Amino acid sequence: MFKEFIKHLFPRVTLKKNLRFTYTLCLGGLSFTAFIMLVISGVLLAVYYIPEPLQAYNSIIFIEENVTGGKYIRNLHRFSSNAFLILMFLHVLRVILTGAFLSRKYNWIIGLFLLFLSIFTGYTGYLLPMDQLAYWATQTGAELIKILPFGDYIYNIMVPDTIGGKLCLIRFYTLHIIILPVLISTLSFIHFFRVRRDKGVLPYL
Amino acid sequence: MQVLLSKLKRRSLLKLLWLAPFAALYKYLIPKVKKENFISVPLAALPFKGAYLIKDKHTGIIKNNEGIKVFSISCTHLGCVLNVENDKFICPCHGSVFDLEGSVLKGPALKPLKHLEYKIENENIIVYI
Repeated sequence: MFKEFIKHLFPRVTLKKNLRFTYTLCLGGLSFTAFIMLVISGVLLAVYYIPEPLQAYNSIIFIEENVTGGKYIRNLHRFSSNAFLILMFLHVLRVILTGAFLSRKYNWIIGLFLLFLSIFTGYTGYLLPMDQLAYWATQTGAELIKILPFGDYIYNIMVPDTIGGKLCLIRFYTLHIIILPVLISTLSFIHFFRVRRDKGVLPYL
Repeated sequence: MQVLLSKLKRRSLLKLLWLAPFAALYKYLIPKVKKENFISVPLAALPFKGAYLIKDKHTGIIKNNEGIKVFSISCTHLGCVLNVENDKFICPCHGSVFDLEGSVLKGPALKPLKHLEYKIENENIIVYI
């Protein structure tokens, strides 16, 4: 089965009009690249980060000051996250403007879920440094969550104590490093599978 | 809920079992910690005339000539904790301004601050949050 998979990784036939650079502007592939960068730099950061309210900020300072390349890795994570969201928005814009969502509805919905999950991942990552910006941004974001349908339940699940409390921080951490990335990768692969099915061109392939 | 249940056939009741793991998960995710619903501050701790803020509980006690007023100092816009500067509540997030009566002087907040119930007992002020 594995051999078959490798065999079919590259498309047997590609439509010539799909190979034009301006057809997709490579935006989806670039945002996937940003996601890979995020995973790599994120794993490196997770080696030093301590998800505990009093130590979180100090561990960030430790990464920046005492770790070779720590500042670089942290900024890489930050810039990649910005790039990821911007590229995704541009990708959505491209899909809207070319009307691609009309003919490939299934993938359009998957893509929207990917967009929302990515924004949510960005939001959960915002709290982790535990500085003033993190605290207030999470506070305001949590008020916005409350407005959603069943918002109070979601809020109670995400913030069992207070914003920036022990349980809250470790919950955001779990969401940020495990649950949401796994969901995003799974949906991405469904997304790519559908692209391939619809005779599109995949990133790197 | 009642309507949903009445549509359910007797035979298909067991189909609802798939909800059980989710209910269990929800229960698991909400720990059993008692949240205290009041705070107690000794009256002597209050300034003679001014504001006493308990920021981690989002509560502000204002004392002036007319007496004591207790506010929830969560900004009514997006819930940031207000600071007091020059007889005004100022929000650090988006700059809403409230007067010491709790009414809005400057947006983006639209609603006035919420008054909190309190009582005075044995030289302590007890605020229900």
